Formats: sequence, structure tokens, C-alpha cells
Amino acid sequence: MDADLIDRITRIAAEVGDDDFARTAPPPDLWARISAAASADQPADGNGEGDGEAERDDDDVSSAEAGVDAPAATVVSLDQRRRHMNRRIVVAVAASLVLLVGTGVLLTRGGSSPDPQLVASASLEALESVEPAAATAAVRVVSNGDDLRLVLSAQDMTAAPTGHHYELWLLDPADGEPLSLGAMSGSVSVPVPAGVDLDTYDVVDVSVQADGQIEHSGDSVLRGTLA
Amino acid sequence: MAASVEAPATEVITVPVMTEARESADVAASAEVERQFMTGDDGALEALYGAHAPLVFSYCNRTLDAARAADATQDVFLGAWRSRERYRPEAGSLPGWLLGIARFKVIDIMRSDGRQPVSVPDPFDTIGDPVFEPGDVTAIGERMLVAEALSGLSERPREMVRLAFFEDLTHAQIAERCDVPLGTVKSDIRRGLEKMRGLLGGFDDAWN
Repeated sequence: MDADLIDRITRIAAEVGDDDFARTAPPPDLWARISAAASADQPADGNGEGDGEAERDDDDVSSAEAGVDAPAATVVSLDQRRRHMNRRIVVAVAASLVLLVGTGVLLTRGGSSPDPQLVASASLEALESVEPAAATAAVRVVSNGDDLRLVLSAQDMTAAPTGHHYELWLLDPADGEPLSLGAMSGSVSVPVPAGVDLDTYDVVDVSVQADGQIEHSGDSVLRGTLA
Repeated sequence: MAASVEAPATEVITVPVMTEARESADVAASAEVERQFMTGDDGALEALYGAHAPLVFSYCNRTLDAARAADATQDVFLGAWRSRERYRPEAGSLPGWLLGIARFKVIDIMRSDGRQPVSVPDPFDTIGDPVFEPGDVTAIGERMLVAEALSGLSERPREMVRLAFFEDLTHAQIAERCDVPLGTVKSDIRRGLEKMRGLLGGFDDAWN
């Protein structure tokens, strides 16, 4: 059964070149367009009938249709750690694939909300991490009318140890009372509970929790202060 | 403290050398993205986009200009999101499935642009857009997915896979050349093979 797969991969590999490893960053505004279109959707329940083609909403905005030139795409280069292969193949080693992380998160609801406002942001740095202190995270708190969302973009975050999970918290440094925003395993976007004063709960914290543990474990791996 | 959000900022981050720890972390992160996608969690579409937009856009941009490629990428993510119940993890992995959706989207756009089908390219037409066949669009996708699989492997298994599939060495030859146990060669190649099986399986399974 693997013979067919191996034949196929061997055939494909013979044609693989540098271009196939290159990654080009999408235009910076693309996520906002997708997010806005998705927010305008009806609840997705019950969808999926039809011919399988993606239905387009009237609210979908395409740059080509709008006659707007898309910003020039950024070519994301692979690093120099490329290796030569035979058969005219030069395969760029993806030892350093370059990823694009869109940090501008614009969440709109209802299609007519006011422009999102950046309320606060923070850079989370590793504390006494059991892993090499490579993990970091960027946090933005975005307001869209009455709603506040905390958007965390994690980098280099390894999986939690077996039987454990990561949990996201807001801390009040004065009384130390932690407020859980829920379990997480990487980048997340979560609502900030109504009534929470971010001038008081201004510390964002990520802890390692034993599964089933409700209280903050005291084992924080990332932390930063909103400003 | 409040400040208006200007244009969405784009940050390009160079990921360090792929290590085994990083590979396993990426595998775990991909599994989480897939789980969120299948359950339709809050933030799942954003996570999906963050994980796979460079791959999808790069693929679309191989045969379409940047504006068209962006439109296609938008349709791919929205289409995938709206039809997420059709994703079958047992058939293949999520990035392969997204690229499979992108394949049909790209071909549709090329056809609507009047660029397809062009069964007999004009040999004298050396100026203008290159002529692509639907088969080319498929082949580019397959090559990019094999490249994606290699990129996701840490150094040793990547080298094993390279030697096996790009240099056609036997497992025994690889073991001898790299001075590693035969069992290690086999398990490394198996790991690479599974990655490629998942990606290509998803590609094949997209909206057939």
C-alpha cells in the first residue's frame, strides 16, 4: 500500500525546486478582510449542503472586485541554510521557515461596529520555564464597542507536559488574586469578562496546570504587564 | 493607554533552526489548530489562518498575481471554515486539505480570467503570463506539500527522507552513509512518509 505513495513521492520529489519551499506573506490586510466576512456570516450550523464550493457572501470584499490594488506582497525568504540535492534539485532546507504572524487582529461583530480600538498590549516573557526560555507571546486587548478581547500570539511554545495544560490568567499584583481566562495551548483570542478593570488586573500570566487543577498552580511560564 | 489600531501590523518572524523539540511542538500546535477548527471554537479561524496562510497564499501566488492570490486565499479560508464539517482528518491533514481547496479555487479563477483551458500553448508567445494547465496547478501543489513535509522535519529525519526520495538510496545505504542504525533510518523515513501521506491525502480529499 505504501508502494504507491512511495512511487508518487519519488516522482514529485524529482521535480521539487527552490520555489516550492519559498513562502510569500499574504497582504497585511487579508486577515481583517477574512475576519470581517466570517463575522458577517450566519451561524454556520447546518451548512455544508450544495456543491461544495465556497459560498460567497455579499459582504465578502475582494481587492480585485473592489478595484483596490492589493499591497505588494512581501516575499518571505528562507534562510541561507539550503542544501543542494542532485537531479537539478536544490532543496531549501526549511530549518528556518519564515512564518508570518498577523498581529493586527480586528474582530468585528455585526458588520457595523465602530473601529476596533487597541486598549492595551503586553509582551510576555518566559519566567522559570522548564523548557528553554524561548517561548514568548505578544498580547493585545482590543475593544469593539462593548466587547473586550484579549488576543495572545504565542511563539515557540512547546506542548504542556503530559497530564498538564497551559492556562491564561489576569493577575492583580496588589492582592494577587488570579482571574482565569481559560485553558490554552498556543495562540488564542478570548473575551475579557465584563466588569474586569484592566488597570487593576494588568498582569497577563500563563501557568502550567495539572489537569483538573482549578486554582493557579503558582507555576507560571510567561508573564507580562499591560500598558 | 488607549490608542487607535491603525492598519493591521504584519510581523515577520524568523523561526529558529528546526529541532526535534520544535518539531514536536509544531506537531502539537497543528493538532490543536485542527481540533479548534473541527469544533468551531472561538478564534479557530484566526488560528487556522495564522498557521497556514503563508502556505495557501504562496501556492495561489504561484499562478495568480498578488491581488488575485489574496482573493483566492480569502475564499479558501472562508470556504474551509463554512464547510469545516467536510474535513476528514482520517483522509489527510488540514494544510493539505486547504491546498486542495485552493487548487480548485485557482483553477476556477484562471478559467474565469480566460486563461484556461489552454491546451496548446503558443510557442511564439514568449511575452506575457506563463500558460498554466490545471495539471500544472495540481503539480505545483504536490511539490509544495512535499516541501512542506520536509520543512516540518527536524534535521536528521529530513536528511533521511532526502536521501531516500531525492537520491534514491536504500535504507541500508543511508544507514551506512550516515552511520546510524538501520532502525533509526526506517523510523525517520516512516515519520517523513506519514507527514507526506497526510498532506497529499488532504490535498486529494478536498471537495472531490
